[in-house]
Amino acid sequence: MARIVHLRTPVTPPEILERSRRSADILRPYIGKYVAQRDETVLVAADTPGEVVRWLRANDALDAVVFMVPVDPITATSVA
Amino acid sequence: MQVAFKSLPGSPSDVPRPTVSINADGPLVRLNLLALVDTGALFNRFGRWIADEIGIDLSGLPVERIGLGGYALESVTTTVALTIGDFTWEAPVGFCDPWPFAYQVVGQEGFFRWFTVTIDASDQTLAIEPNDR
Repeated sequence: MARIVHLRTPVTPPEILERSRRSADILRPYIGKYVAQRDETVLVAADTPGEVVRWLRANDALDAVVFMVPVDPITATSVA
Repeated sequence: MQVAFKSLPGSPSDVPRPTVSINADGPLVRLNLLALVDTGALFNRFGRWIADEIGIDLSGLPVERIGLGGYALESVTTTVALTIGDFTWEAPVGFCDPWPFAYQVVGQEGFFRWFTVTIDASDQTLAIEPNDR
């Protein structure tokens, strides 16, 4: 009969939790906005993605990643 | 390639999500987009606004009516060149309107078939390696 291995409850290392908190803090002022982010800097924020893309094109910054900072990060991304 | 989860501000706590930065190429421009790596999704689904911005003409293509995340959407599918890091591939993307979601979604038939993905929710990382077959 196969032996059952009981797994311990995993613990996220504190440095990862701190990195996660810092990352969220960067976005906190932009909840509900479309943003373009390069590394830890939000380059532009706007109400529509079109405004963000226009800014990126005008400023030669299309390497920045574009997304919306959700109002509710749980329900806003629960798609299947 | 290892990618940290994207931590999104929330209340009462922040929410780390498994996402990747993915480039979508069109005739006009390449856009860098944040996409949720969704093991439950069959297809890649992006906002229709992306097709408009990168210059992909969807006119004349069949419109599919789908339900996603509790919303009724119209989706038009075409093949798009996608890039993550040093890896590029061509895959179908359903461009959807309206698109009320915060970012794009990559799923089995447009992403996971090309890669072996390891999700470590405790360390909040994704490891993405291209499939060699």
